Amino acid sequence: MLKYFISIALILVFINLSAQQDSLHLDQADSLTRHQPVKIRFGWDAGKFIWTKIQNGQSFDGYISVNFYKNYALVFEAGTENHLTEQSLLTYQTNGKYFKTGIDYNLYDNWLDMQNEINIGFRYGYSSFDYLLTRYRINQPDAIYTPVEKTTHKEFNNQSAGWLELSSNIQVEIWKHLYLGYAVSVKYLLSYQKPENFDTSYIPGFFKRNSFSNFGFGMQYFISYQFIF
Amino acid sequence: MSKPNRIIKYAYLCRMKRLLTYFIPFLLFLTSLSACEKDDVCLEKGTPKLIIKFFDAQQTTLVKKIDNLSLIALPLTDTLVFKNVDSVAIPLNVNENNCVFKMIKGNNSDKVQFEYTTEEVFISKSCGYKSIFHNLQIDVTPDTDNWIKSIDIIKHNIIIDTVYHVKIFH
Repeated sequence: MLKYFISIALILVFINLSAQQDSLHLDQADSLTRHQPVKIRFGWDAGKFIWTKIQNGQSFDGYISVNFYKNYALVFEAGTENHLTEQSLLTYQTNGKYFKTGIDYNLYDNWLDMQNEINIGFRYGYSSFDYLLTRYRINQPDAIYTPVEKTTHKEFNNQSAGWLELSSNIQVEIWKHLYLGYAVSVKYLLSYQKPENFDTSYIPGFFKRNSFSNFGFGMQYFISYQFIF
Repeated sequence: MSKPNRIIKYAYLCRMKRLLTYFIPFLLFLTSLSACEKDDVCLEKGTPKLIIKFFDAQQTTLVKKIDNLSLIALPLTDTLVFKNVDSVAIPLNVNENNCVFKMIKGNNSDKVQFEYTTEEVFISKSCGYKSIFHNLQIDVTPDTDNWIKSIDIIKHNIIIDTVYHVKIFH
């Protein structure tokens, strides 16, 4: 019984509070509350842009987030990517585009009129892409006749993949309506096609596919601008 | 909904929010775990080798060992030396459709030519492509004293190298 004492006491406190509220008629204040503004945010994945530039690739990733109801926001993200993978036995190019859509939920209670966010949400991602194999060398252990490097132009076109993401991001207002954001996500690959005599490895928007699991991860650095209507 | 319920619900929601906030470090932890790349190391087998097993020329079911066998891959000069073996594994030339080996048993040297067609098969991202061989044919250049009496090709397609493909009788 002693165990529940605090719980019961707490409930009694609430009942007491509500009774006071009733007598104060706080409900009347409702007529003065502002209508929730619609917030639209345009973001750009700066991290990815810089990262691919360093690796001599090209990419663009942007998103729109619409805060349509309370703490919920609809998110649309789209991007293109050219990525070069160079390994000792293979060199190939990945070219493709992708989109993601999902919902973010803001957990953060702001002070006064601040607009920072800590979001948690999910995404569905879909990517369509092509591989272009440009160089390979046959894998032959203990070779006597050393396998030569071969340059080719093999295309593996019309590949696609779909995945789900559990994502979390932080958006901090650094200047009027201008935000810096950071996101991490855990991804689960739902489907992909295995090309004939090649394998799905790099997926634009998903990053690298593992051969031992369907899980992947992602990190993003955003710069975004928010409009409030 | 009555007022007390609404307040309890709000308290509950605050707690939920706090719980969910813990979820973010958890996501970060998962992220760091999956950052290790096991895929960069090749663990699968590459191009299969040609496996030759030696048998007695008279009693053809009997395995006959060779005390001292040397293999020279022509036109290279690399020599592979085998002592007291009943079988050898030879890496074939994947750049051409044939290769010639000098097989020396003791002091007796025989020239053996292997002919085949190659097929390139994708293994995995980290292992790349391997070659497999089809339509294997073997010619022994005749001389006055061949130590190789005859050859029997068991498997004309070399896809795996856990079984032998060729019998050499001597």
